[in-house]
Amino acid sequence: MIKKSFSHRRVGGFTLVEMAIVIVILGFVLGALLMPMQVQRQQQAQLQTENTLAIAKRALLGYAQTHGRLPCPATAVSNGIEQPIGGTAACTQAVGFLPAATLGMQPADAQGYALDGWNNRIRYAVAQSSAGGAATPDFTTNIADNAATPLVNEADGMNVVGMSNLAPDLRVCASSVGITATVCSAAVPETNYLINNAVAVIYSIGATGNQAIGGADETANLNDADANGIVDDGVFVSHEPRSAADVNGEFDHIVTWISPYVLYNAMIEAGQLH
Amino acid sequence: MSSRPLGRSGQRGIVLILIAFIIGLGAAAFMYKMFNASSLQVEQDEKTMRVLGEAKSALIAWAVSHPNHPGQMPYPDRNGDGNYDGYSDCFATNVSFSYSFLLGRLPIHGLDPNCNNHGITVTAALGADFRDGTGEPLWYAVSKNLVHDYNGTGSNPIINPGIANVATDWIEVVDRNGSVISNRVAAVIIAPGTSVGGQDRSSATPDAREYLDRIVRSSDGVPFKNYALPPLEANQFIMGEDIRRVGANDTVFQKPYYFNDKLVFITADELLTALEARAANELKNALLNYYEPASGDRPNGRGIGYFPYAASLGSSKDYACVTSNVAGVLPISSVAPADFTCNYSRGGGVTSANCSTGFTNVSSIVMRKNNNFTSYSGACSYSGRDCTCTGAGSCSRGGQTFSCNALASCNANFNGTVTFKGGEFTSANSRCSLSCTDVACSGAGAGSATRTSCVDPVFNTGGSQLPTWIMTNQWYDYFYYASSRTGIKLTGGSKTNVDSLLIGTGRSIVAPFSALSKGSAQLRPSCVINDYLDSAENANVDQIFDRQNITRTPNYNDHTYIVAP
Repeated sequence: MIKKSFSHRRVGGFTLVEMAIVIVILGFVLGALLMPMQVQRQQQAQLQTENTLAIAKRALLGYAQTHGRLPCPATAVSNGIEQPIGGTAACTQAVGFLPAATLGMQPADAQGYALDGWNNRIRYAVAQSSAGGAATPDFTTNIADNAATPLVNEADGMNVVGMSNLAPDLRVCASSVGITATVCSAAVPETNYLINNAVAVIYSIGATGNQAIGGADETANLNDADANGIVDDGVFVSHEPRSAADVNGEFDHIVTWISPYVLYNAMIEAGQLH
Repeated sequence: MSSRPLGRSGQRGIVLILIAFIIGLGAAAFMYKMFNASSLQVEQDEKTMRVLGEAKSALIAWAVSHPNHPGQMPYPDRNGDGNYDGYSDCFATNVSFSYSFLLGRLPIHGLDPNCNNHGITVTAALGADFRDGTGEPLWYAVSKNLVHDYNGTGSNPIINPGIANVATDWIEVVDRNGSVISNRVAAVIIAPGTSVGGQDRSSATPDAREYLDRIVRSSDGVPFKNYALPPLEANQFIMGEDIRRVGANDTVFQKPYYFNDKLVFITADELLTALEARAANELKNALLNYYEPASGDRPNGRGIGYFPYAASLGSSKDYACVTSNVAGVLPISSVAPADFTCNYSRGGGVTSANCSTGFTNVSSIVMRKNNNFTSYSGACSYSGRDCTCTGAGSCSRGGQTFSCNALASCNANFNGTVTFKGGEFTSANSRCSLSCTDVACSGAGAGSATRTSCVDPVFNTGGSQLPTWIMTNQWYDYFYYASSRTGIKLTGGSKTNVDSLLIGTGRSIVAPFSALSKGSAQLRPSCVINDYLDSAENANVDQIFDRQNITRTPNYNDHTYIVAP
């Protein structure tokens, strides 16, 4: 009886046409879902990087407010700690990695370096100028208190030199065309710059990381931390991202910097600069 | 014969799937679009507010750390020079000031090289290319009180806390309903947003009105514009309601309603608070340089070994230090102040007055008569019964004359009373008596007054010389200075054993407010401490002062800065 009724009520399987339509729809749906997901992941990495850079800026300002100076960059082997420790001499590298361990920044990787959204180490450059007359850099040197003097003195590098003498010299240029090792353009007055007196530059090398497919603009920012044989310089490039197909070469670095005024004002507020 | 002929039922199934698919796709697209549009809007607003905040701190920082004129603001970048190039546009020395110079774009690149007049050095950029969420550059308006006047030989505004009591030329910011939020605004930064209400930004250098918006209040038809220009219109900006939040049923505003500006503002007090910290650090550095010997961390140390004695509160001329005076104002004289004597005598219908160093160490000599003067000449002037001389000159009424020569030898052919003003005297005798930094002499007979300054090495010189901007902006008048020179240590809040501290006195608190310590408005210069310090603790003339970082209020604006240790 059961068998009979089963055989009479045919279970209609999907026809080929129906299956084809379902597969096509599924294709559409999956495509529509996955395409934005890819973009979204990229966007999320971008956002995470921008956040990390903003936190880094705040951490550096906070460090300066507490210590009266900026930290030196970390080197590739210093475990996220500034080199040399304690601002006793000129920085081992003027351009290196963000010293996340020194700044106490989270999250950092197991080696103590802050990472961007693509797990590349955040890079950091700090002005090494010494316009104050001392042989040591104004922005990163800690001058130990002279115990022989009668009062406890809390003046460090920048406060000893005084704001009127400080001369930060890091550059962020709008393009790499015409830049030199020290300026954004040979023209006087200088052109092609976004800032020509930054005290620190903090940047991520973007999704494509250190791969040698970038254009000249990326090369200008890769002059350093990985001991690639190019001399450290304080001239960087920042602009909107460009794809690899662009005639001027690919660019996906995310570059931020600290303006001297913002640093000075933060330090004045904390009584660390005159 | 097929076992399952293609019947109508099968085809209907496909149509059903197709219809469901099309409806679903449509719904998904609609949802996506809706969600995306609103989230994009939120993202844009968020970015706009973040950038406005960043621009505000950058602008305050730029002004505070100005190398020569801290507190001075840049002129906006106008279309007046034919472009919006990001550079601050000042004006030529043969052009008179106009309020139209005070509204334009935020000068992200700093001063135009053409602004390098009158010793205004070109300072660098604000530090970033600030743009709102829609990609528009930010706009900026500044108060006339804070910009250099390029006209003629030029003049810089004197920027110290006293400027906050200036009644004119501040910007006023009102809320969506037109109620005043602040009427002492130093600068406004505006995100213009997308164009609304037919704004045309297609020309090379569009006017402000193509970016900035206006509203009109329904109740009284009063318009509020963000592009208004004094003196014909109010120097006013409005934090209006966004066009998206004003519905068709709204009755508060006239329609059509077009407004999407977003603005932040910097009050005079915000700017002055930041500036006071810078001034305090400079003074602290100079005091430490005075005390400490030269060393690696204090290259300009002079090694005097103590903090200087203070000048009398109320000093306005020489700021001469006074022996054993451990609290007052900083002794900012750059040379050792002279010791001198002023004499008075009256008898036989003749009054005479003179000072041993002429007018050099007094601000003026004032003769009071028993009735009003009617004429004057030279460096004398009168107000009612008082004739004030600052050099050679005279005041008269009929045959009665009071005259001084350039050496401050003064005579009157009548009986009068004499006040030697601003001499910062330390002693007076017989017919003369001390009155704050002045000496008042009256009655028949003779009297004299003397100033004996302390013998400390001069403070405002060498390694402890104060920066020029502290002097030209008279910041020394806005700090109360105390030291433990005579052995009694100071206390600032919970910090004990303090050797020296400064208290930023802020602007004098005037009507409608009253200082907590005085209970009424403060008058300066004054010899009374509660005209400077605002709390009972600060003004009770002991060695204990308020802690650092107490929030300022309309009735309290002191700020303690510990100098050492």
